[in-house]
Amino acid sequence: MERKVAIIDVAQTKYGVRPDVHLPELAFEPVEEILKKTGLKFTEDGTGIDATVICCDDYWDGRTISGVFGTDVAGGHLRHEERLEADGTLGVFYAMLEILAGHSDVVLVVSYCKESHTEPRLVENMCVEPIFLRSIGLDFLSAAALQANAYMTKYGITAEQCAKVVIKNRGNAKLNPYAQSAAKLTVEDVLRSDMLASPIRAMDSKPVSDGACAVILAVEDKAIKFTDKPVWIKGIADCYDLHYPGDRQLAECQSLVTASQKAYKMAGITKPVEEIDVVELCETFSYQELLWSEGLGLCAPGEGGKLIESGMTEIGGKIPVNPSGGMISGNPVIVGGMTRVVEGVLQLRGEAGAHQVDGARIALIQGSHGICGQHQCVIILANDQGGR
Amino acid sequence: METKKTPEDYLKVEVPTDIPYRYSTGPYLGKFFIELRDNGKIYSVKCPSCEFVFTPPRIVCPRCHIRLQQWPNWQESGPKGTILTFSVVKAPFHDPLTGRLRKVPYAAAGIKLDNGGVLEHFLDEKDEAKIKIGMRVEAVLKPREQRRGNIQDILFFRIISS
Amino acid sequence: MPNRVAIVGIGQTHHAGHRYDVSFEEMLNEAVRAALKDAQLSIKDICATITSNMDPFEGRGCSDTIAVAEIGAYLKAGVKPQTGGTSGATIFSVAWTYVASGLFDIVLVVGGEKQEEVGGDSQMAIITAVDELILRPFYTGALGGLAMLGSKYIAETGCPEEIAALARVIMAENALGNPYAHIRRKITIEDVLKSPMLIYPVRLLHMSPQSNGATALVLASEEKAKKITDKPVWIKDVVTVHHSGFIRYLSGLSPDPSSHEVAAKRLFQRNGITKPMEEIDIFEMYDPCIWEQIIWMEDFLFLERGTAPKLIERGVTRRDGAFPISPSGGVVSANDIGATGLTRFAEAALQIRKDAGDHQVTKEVNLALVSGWGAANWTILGLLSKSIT
Repeated sequence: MERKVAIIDVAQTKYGVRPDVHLPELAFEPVEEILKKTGLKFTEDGTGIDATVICCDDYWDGRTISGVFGTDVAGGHLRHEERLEADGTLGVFYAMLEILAGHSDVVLVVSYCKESHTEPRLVENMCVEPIFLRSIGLDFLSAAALQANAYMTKYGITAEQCAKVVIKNRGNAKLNPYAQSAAKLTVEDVLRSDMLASPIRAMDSKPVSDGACAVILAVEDKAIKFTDKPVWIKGIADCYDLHYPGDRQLAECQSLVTASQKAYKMAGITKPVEEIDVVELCETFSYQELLWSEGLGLCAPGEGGKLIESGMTEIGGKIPVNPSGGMISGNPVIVGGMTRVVEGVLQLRGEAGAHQVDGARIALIQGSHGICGQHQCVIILANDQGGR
Repeated sequence: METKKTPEDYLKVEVPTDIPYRYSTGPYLGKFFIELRDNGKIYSVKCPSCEFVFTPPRIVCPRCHIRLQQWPNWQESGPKGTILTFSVVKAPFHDPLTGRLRKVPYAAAGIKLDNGGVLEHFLDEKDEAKIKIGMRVEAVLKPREQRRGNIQDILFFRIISS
Repeated sequence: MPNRVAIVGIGQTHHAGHRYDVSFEEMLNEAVRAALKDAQLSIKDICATITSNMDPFEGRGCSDTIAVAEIGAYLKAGVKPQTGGTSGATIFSVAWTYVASGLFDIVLVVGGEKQEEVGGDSQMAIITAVDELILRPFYTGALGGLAMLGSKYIAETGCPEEIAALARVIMAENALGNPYAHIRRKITIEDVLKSPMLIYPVRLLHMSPQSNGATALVLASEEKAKKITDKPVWIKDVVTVHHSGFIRYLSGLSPDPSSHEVAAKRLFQRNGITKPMEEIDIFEMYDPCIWEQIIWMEDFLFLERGTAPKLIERGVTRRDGAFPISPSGGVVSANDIGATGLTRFAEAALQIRKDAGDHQVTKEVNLALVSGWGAANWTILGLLSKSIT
């Protein structure tokens, strides 16, 4: 890549249910914070932020063209703004493409979502094909349950192994002041929780969540001017899988494998477990941490259960996964992938506080969109020590 | 010769969609509605930088990107105002709040409130020959016991002069 | 040195009153196949797909994930931007950025809308775009704001209805030469003046129809474009300017310049254009209602307020005129929202390639101006050129 791109700062809300704010007010919180932190303004002359990218979804927001909420609070009025209906990781990707194309030098990316003001399962049902799948009531939970069952049966992954994801991540959340729902749990706690759609139990599933986050990307010469801790985007790729669960190999995650291989190649990473210091991935359901870990090449296919049991993915382990608490501790969809980016940046800037992974230089980020992680996006970040 | 097909010849699947939303109003709109409901007052907020006046108050000025003041740093507006623009709707479309066809004709107008910003609302007059840009209007509210804390607490704006 | 990008494939379905014979995804597939055929490429050559539609019309969320097989997105990169009516033009701009970044060399962009899929009238789907707490009770879809803009223009300029009728008749004549247009019939001035009033001053024939259809383009990097086709249409520049929903330009209530004026200023300044009507050959404009064609001619082309009517009267905007506007018949002849903005770029490209058949303009087309519109008056403004420089 000729132009190098870095993230120069990040901001996020504390995640949780927010009946106290109108949606644009939620979106404004991280925007206000990041503008204050960076001192940057929305400008036309190249001295500040050139463009904004917003990630939000009409059906979750309860308003058609819901990007209009973001326009007012994220500097879109009479300015260059783009709006994507996709996970926040895609927003970061598009902002990077803007910069690589030379169309902008500095781009603000904002993602927001308020799951609590609607019925998420009904909204998810809108996001599946209407003629065949919607009328059988398929939503992200029931689709995930199909995938979890296929995956766990094929490879002998156990409910206990999935529960260990919950215990690790909800425990990590205690160390993250932005996390929604931290808890010290046991395997019994998880296995005793209500069955939602077998094999997924209530505690295997992320809670309803509201939140927003913002990042600013900049081209190299401006990045090093605006911050002394730039976080470089070394590799980035996304990939779509097929839609109908029956068309897919549900026990695998082909689109994640494709995306991660492309991202690793771009970043020059050949041995992920050796070269990566911290991983933040989007596990809306506990089994997904195991399956996505396989797709990311952190272990061989089918070895996700062994990975969680090895302890390697704990903070302090060889390849910490979700030191922030992950999505299962509470992030909204659409925002979740960008939260992972925010957390990855905090790690590489040494600003992750109590959940810091010491000496983190290279972070691996995964976000997804659609049923059973149909559309996957992988980002590899590095600080100056990790290699610009 | 192939006979022309009608819509009924094609198999269709109907999927009624009903997704509930409970929109939070937040500290700006929420307070605006409370003041409207409890005290019959309409409030606006002025951007300290560009002086654009927003009715109802909002969190940020889209031009200056600064957070606007919360209650009580608002200005009481109206109930009188001036018609800036208007439209008389004659074709019946569905009312999104009820799912039923609207009663037509009805007039909607953009009204510059005295000491306020621009609010869009209904007019009592429905004949476009009798409505002129620049006319003075006054807000007519529902009686206190019928107000709920939403924009329909204002019934319409009545033309009070030409 | 910016990476240059060209349009190398153009495909459209017929923009129709009804397409009960296909699902939404199948309809997108038709446009994709047409674009690939035009480019003489296979779906295997594509490395990313950019798609959009306006969600409530088809009642599908995450519609890019649902249509993945039909648009050929399987195992490819891509994204769904969504900007309401602007979507068709937005996806063009996004796809341009994908290729210009250097990371993707051949990108497919497809936009479509199947407005018949929403039960009730399609204004219901649009009205869910309006602020739910403050504005929705008063609005009737997109018409309300457009009508208010129109009545403000009439109050300011005294523009007679006959001008709007004439502009509509010119669009109808153009559409008769466009096999893909939805409304293709002879329309007279009297037809327009007599057509039912929807919301003053907007009559039924002033408004765009509710169409069903899709448009697809293939964009390629300079290196690839030169190998794929000997008639690449170069993307000179595209600007995007959005607009606040709080400050209501639609409804004529904004003290600020319109996003159209801001976009035009930016685009022309960046490209050294000072006299747009002389230096540019044609303008495919996104005007959802014929009144807006008159108003926005002035906004986009730096004309003094109230002067567009005379130009229309003199025949300047006709296909054989000095500055043809929407030789395709424009948005009043076909409006399948997710496609409409993209169709403007497709039609301008056809004109540059001299492939517009019966609706080809008389003059040489070297530089075309294209606009997209939607939402709270969001603007996309682009320049397509025959030559690479």
